Amino acid sequence: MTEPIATPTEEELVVLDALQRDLPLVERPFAAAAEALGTSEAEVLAVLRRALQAGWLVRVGPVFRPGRLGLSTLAAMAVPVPRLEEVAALVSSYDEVNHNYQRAHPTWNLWFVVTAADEPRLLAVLADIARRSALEVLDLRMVREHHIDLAFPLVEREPSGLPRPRGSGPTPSVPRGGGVTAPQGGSLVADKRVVAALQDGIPLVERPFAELARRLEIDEAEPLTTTRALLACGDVRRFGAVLAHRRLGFTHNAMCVFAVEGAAADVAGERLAELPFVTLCYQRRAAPPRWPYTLYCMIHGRHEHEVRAQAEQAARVAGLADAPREVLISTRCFKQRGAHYRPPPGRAAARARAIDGVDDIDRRLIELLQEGIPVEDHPYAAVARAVGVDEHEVVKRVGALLARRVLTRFGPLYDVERFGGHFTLVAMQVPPARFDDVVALINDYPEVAHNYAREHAFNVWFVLATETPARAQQVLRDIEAKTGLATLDLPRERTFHLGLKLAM
Amino acid sequence: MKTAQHSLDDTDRRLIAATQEGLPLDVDPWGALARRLGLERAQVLARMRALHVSGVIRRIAAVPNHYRVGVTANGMTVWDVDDARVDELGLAVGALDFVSHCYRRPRRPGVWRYNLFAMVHGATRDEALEKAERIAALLGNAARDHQILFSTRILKKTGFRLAGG
Repeated sequence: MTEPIATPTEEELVVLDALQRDLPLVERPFAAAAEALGTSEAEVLAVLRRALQAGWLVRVGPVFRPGRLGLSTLAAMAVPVPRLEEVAALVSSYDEVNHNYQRAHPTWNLWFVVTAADEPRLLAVLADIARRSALEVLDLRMVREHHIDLAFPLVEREPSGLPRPRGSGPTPSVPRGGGVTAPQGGSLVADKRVVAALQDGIPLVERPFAELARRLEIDEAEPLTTTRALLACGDVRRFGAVLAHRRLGFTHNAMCVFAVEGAAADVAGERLAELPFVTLCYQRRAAPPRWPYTLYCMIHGRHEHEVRAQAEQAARVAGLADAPREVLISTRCFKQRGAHYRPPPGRAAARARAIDGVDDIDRRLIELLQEGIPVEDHPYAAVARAVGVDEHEVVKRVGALLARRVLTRFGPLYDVERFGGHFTLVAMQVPPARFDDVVALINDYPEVAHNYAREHAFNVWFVLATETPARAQQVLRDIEAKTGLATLDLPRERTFHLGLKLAM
Repeated sequence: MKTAQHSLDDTDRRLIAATQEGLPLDVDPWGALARRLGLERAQVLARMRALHVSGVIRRIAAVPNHYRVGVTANGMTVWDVDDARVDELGLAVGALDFVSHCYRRPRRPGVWRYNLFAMVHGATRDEALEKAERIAALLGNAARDHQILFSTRILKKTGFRLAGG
């Protein structure tokens, strides 16, 4: 562990700290930030360039929410000590590996994060590493996120650890815009080239977004519009300076893992997420019997004794003092950079089909509106800005899309289970000769929300949304009595994914 | 899956009844709802916010007509997956970027053997079938059997309604 050679001045720290969040998304972001800091655009750019050179700054750009850039997983390997260098180099050589750490643990000593465009590629990378190293690779998928921040407060630091920056609470553990069924893989379908370019950070020049547009040979407004939209829909957690915490003196990080299941894990995760020194907290799949741990939190600090003390405190606060647990201190960083995702070739063209009377603005609008509008004073303001029209035009276009039945509906999507209601999928085998009559009878029930004809012996499939489970049973008995046909009641037992979004 | 429940009062129910067909098409939908229901605009906004925060409203969003936007092959893939592995594999299937919905549902012995449901879409049936193949590859021998049920017609698509609302 080497101490940082050069250390930033107090003034530089103030600039870097401020730019971690809330970099204004405008044509000249550094000028706007400078104004807020009472300095000049030239000075802000000079600090950033120095910081990049000194290695304190990784990039100025987006921090994507997990899952936005494709799939990722945490992997662990038990590497014989004499082979550590060789295996670590092999792991780091994959473009899909963005973090790779040695951690102090008697067995599982190499930990890395793999991000790939899709599941087959992710599995292929893991399998390849296992094959080439002839070692086992544990695949520890994230199951639930409690807290993800990663902005390190550099100023007004308390001796006890890392206070949260003013005005930022813990990340709610339920993704924005939904309950337990909020989309995991859902995301804005932005221009993949812009997304890929943003990942490397914006250029440190006066007009960084225009410069990106020039490099990509696209419309000048496109990178800025896309960035705003990504932030507005939650795909990007924050946009600003991403700092190399190790180079800034936060040389120790501890990964604390607990073996705790079910609701207890949820409660403990919520509590851990509240702690000011916890920067990441999530649940991951265990790999029993070798790795029984399910709840993870990361603690960053300047000294080993500091992070160890905080790990103990975390265990107590979370009510996990008696749970099996381990604290894995990182001892060496082999690789650290933002998650990367390169667009797979040849996919973009697939969606570029023409729909009568639907122009590019409509297309963007439908994409954004599938994500939902905020329940705010001006609910259409962000969408309007993102597509470059005013709010009246947004509403007018929505009306036209509804009238032409390009949209079937625009409004609140209710989760009836949240108010004691019941959702179920029902299938029936309806003789073709009676098809229309039976369907009309079914559709007459206001509780039938969706109904589809499908090619199968079970040829009618409808969703029943009722205020009570008893009412659902009553409707089904009723339909059976009136039609003389059996119903197949298939309530969902578990939701793995609910996206509801269509790439346009 | 049991979720925390939120009890609705009369005002909530009136708001739900007034929006279940859709949000009023107005730049200021809260004001429009307030006028329609004889409520204060601030009250409407506060109520809608509370319904959103509690998850009663999942989101306020557009639902495209798959057929009209060129996605004409909509297949419900159903899989008979080893019960011991269905939860783990369901998460992996749900994480595929092309799967729009993924649920575990009960088997009905003698009538219905499939316990994992995943929706796939495409401009053509081949496109949807190719996606089903990718799910099959992921599930490997944990899936004993599967089918893909293409929808041939939308018979109804209204979203949730309060009975009598």
